[in-house]
Amino acid sequence: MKFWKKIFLYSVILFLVLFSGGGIILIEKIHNDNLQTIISSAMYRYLNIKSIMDLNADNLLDFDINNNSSVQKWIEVTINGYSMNKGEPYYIELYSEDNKVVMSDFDMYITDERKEITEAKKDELSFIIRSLDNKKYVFISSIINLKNKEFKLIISKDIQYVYLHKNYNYKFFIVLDFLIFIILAIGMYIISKNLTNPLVKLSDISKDIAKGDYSKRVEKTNTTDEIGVLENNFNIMIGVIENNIEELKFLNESKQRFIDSLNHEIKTPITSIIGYSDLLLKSKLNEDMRVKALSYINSEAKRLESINSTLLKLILIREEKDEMTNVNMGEIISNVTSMMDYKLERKNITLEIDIEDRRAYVDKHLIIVLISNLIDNSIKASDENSSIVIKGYSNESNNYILKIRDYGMGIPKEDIDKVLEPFYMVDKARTRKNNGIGLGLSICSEICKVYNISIDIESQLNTGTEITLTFNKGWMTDEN
Amino acid sequence: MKTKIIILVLMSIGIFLFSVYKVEYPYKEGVLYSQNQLSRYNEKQYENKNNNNLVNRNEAIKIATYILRDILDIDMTAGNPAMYVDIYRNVEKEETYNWNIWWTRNDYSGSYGVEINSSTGEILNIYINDIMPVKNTNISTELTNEEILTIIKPLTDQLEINLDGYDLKISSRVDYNIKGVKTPYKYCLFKNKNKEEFSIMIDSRAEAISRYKKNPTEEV
Repeated sequence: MKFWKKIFLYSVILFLVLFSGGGIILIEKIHNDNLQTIISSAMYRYLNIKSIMDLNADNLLDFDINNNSSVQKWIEVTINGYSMNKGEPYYIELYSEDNKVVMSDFDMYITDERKEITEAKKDELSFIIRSLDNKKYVFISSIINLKNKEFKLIISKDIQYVYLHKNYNYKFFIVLDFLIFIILAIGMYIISKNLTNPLVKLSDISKDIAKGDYSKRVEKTNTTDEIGVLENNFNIMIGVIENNIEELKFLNESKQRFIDSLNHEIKTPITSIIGYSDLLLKSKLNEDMRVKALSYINSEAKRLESINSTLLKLILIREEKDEMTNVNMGEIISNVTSMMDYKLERKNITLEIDIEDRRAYVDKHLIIVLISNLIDNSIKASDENSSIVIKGYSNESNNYILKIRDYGMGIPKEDIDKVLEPFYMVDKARTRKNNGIGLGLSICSEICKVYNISIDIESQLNTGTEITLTFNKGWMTDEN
Repeated sequence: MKTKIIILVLMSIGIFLFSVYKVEYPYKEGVLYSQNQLSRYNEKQYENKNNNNLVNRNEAIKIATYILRDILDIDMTAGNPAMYVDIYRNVEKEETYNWNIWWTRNDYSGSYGVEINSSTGEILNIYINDIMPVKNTNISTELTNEEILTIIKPLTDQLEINLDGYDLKISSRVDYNIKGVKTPYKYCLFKNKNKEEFSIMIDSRAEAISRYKKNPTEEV
């Protein structure tokens, strides 16, 4: 069963049970109260009549107590002679001690046993309800004493209207119950539909997402309730999943590119080696050609060895952190630039250094590799007679920022995301000419990952490249 | 949360069942019930507290006759008056019944009556709507306090009222009610420290009491 149907059915059934149950209890309570009130009123009336009889008892001296017609006459005078007894109709019956009629103005025939007469008590009123001729009557009785003789006085009253009132209340309640039920059913249908609509939409969208359409989002209902929170969280969750999937795709593509590049980088020297060795084996070459072939084989084999050792270095960087030491950033830059002096001089590149001297607790060897690779790349990218700027400073978050800026060939915008991948070369011919294998920036990227150093590359083609390294303040220390 | 909901549902069912149990279902037909099974009935509310001191019908008539004829000097034979007896419940004190006994002349030329508490025999009201024999023809002559007290003394003695404890306030009235005869009255209001009060109206020309009322709720 659908959720909205459950809400609808449960609430309507619960309402019907509680409202109807409560209504029945209320009607029965009202009926009982009315019945009690009317019987009490009849009892007070009984007491009135009894009191008036007592007050007129002396008048009975003029009547013969043993003569029924005489007593009847006395009652006529006593009961009907006073204005107080006029008004609401009551029936009066008087029975002798042995249950024989003395007088009665109740003219209906009663078939069942007259318990109110046979079981009447002296100092206690009793009452009984009877149905006579489709009407309800209450009979009240007790034993009274007149002129030292006991009689049983019974007064009765028509109380049918109390039962009619109850029937009227039930009819009214059934109509009210039905009307409220209809209104509630319509209201609950709308409410349950409205409440579950967002869930239905959520379900539809999750089906689309399951089919692979991660661009789908839930239309927000602008509510802050649980549904609104769920919609928001659902959208956040799908956003995260979409990003992760994009990342996985990118990683997959990177891996594929790595495999393709590795395959290419290895295959190229091997092909050269096989080609030249075949030539040496199958052809009779003069001495110059033989030396040339052997030197090709040698250089391509060295290239293979270089690829192998650099890849090994890359794996080692990923797997272990070397010795951590307290180093001075200025000193490291100074060391690196001295190492690069001959390259700078060859191209007549000016180096501008502006370094804030701060100490860092890092692996000195790896940091030197990182910075030297970056400066080496800048030198390679720069034309002759250009300049390279190196700046080091602390930002407002106390992180250490190191910027290396060159004014060289730059990187095309579409390649910026890929330059950190292994074997990726923006200009392959130029890289190979410089004996590059396209692993320098990959090594830098791995070192940055190991030390949680952020690396950002901003570049514009033919204008230059700026690489920003952000050393987390956790690595920085002011201790010597 | 689930436990709370279960507790709430169980409590609701409990309250519902308790309510059903507590409802006193209507009395069955053909079954004899005692007054004790009727919670709304309280016999003590309506019980006459002075049952031992009941003034019954004949006694009440005797008292009324004595007051009117012997104390207030009413000629109860003139005009062959018819006697009427009624009984009513005191509106404020429902447990007491009051007798109202009055006489009306055959020609309706006048009437007089007395109201008596049936429990205590106390006179609550005396009223005389009649043209009484004139003793003082000078309508402008005012009755003095002494004359007033002399007129009311037989009645107050009979009613066992000690006037020393009461403050008296007298005002004059003129009434044309009885057959259009202009009749001057003295309205006397007696009040004691216990805030018990009664009023007496005196016909100034007849020099006789025309009205007595115990605890007048409004001026006569």
